[in-house]
Amino acid sequence: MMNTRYIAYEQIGHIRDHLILEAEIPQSRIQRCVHRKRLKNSVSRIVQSNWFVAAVCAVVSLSVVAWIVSMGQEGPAVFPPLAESIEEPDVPSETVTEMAPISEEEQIKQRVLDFMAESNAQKDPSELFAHFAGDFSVTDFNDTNDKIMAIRRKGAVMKVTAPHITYYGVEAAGAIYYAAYIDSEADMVGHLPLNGDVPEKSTIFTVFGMDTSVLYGAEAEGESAPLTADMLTVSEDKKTCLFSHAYLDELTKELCSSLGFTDELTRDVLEKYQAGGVYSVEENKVTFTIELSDTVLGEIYQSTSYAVDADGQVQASTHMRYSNPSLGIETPIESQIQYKDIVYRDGTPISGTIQLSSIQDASYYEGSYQGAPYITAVKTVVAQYELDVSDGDTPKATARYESRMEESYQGEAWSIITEIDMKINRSTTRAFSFEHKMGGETITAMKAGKLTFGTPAAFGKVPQKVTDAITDYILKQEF
Amino acid sequence: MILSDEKIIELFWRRDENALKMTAEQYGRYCTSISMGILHDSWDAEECVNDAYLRLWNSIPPARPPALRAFLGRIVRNLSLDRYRRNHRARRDRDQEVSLEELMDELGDCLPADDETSCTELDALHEHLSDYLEQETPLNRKLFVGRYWYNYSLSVLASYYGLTEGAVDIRLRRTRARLRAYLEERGIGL
Repeated sequence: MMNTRYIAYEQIGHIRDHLILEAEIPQSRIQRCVHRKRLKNSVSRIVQSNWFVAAVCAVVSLSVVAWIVSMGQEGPAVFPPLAESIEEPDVPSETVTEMAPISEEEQIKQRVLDFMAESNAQKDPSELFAHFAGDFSVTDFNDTNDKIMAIRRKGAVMKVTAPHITYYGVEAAGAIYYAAYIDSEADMVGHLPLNGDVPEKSTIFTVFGMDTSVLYGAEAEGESAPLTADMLTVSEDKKTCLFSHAYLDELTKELCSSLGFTDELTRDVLEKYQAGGVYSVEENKVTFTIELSDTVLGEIYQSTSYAVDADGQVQASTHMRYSNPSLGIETPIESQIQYKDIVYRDGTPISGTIQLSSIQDASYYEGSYQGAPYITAVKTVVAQYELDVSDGDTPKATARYESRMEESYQGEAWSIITEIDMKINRSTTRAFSFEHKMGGETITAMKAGKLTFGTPAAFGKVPQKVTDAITDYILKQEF
Repeated sequence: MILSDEKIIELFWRRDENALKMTAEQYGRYCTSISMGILHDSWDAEECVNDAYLRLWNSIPPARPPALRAFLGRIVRNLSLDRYRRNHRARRDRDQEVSLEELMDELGDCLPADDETSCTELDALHEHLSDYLEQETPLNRKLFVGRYWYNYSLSVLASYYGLTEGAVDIRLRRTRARLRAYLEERGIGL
């Protein structure tokens, strides 16, 4: 005999269609309810010398992920947006077969709402880098002119590139600071910003000099602008769906708020910015653009897109351009992040290609004393990372990095080009290739080594002079 | 690419296998979500969803459902429930048993569970059930259907609708009590 309890439960299965449809909660929202955590954004932050400029840049340098993450609805007070926005069909009391079908326009709107909510539930693809962070040791190099090894342990990095030179790096204040230790003396080499999205901060890539700061993340916590169907307009040919300006305004307001903008500044931004948002039905892709031109805020342009292809892989990009002559930034600063073929498993990225490119002003004073000579420098970075962590025990990566620094000083100009290839192909054996060019001189070092993730057993104490040099460098930078 | 339900149904009527592809593309996650809510097993859920596509293929034609999403969802739910029964008998999986049987116990308060009920009586019950839900407040209705059709947990419902779990529980209890009274007034007792 059938368990009678099933029968009662089965009866619910026969309720009318619209009752079923209106009660559905998007899967992505369920995940959010369960996990209860906000996602991190990727916000490009290139200009860091001035918090105000940085903040403005952050507003407009939202990557598409950031936009989409910010656009999710954080739990409606009473009814979910979908239920509010879609008109309930007139339902005759007799039979379900007489119910009016959902129109194509409503389906497209729902599709957009689901699309945005789903993307909201996905983690930032840059989290792939986290699998290459943490402590490690690189040993057993061969096929190289230098004897090189690298160890990272608890925020300190040691690289040995020649018998009498040791490079030390120390993570502090959101960057990794390098100093060369030669004949018991320490000389500062420079610093490299760290990717804020990576929990362990520096990765194997950053330790070896690859600048991934374009991925710099700023978390966008808190409530986000609710997206409802009435903020969407489907075109007559049913090929596109436009986001309303009211929605873009809300989005911008919340972003300004999360960045601590005053009401006055927020109003100023809202008055001056121009934006557009469109979803392409055929491409399953959403694109946002924002432009702002202001004597104080500067010239800002941002374009972001996010798409899910037929195979379910995410294709996204964000392009930012910024200049502000009033702050001395005549040459536009540009950055672009492209996420290609990102594959997710349960909302977490497991593989994909991330391309980074940037042009930024890296001018500096050669010396820390007052009146030190000023060197103008424009740094261009082009990098591609193919990351695959689908097998958690054996993360794989292929990285191709090129950095070009064009410098000029008192009428002289020169360039420094750094090219790095890195291939991590098995759990323990990795291949590295470095090429460093300065002027007409090229230093090439081909290396294949053995890399092991995990805390190495030993790490020599960082010499006091190195620590002092780094501390001094940081303090002077702050001034 | 997105197709309207009408176009997908047209593909089914033309016996074009793209109908299945488009259905899977547009409703795959939805179906999996329903099945997972009952089975809590991705392998079983995937099989049920695939079976549902086959069932859909065999149902259209002659059917021409006005809401493909609900039509397909109902098939998935029924198949998943069948699978749950089989698994339940075979494996006696205590963990899975709890969540679904909790729901069954709750519904036992308000719906008849007599396996001798005739088809005609069941049809009447389904109509009364829908009629009753129509007259409930939208929030109570969504909570009820969310809980007993989609198997959403109290915490998910609470979070989504901005309520506490206790408030959801109380609303569900009251809705069930009112439903019971409504059915009894119409001669449908437990």
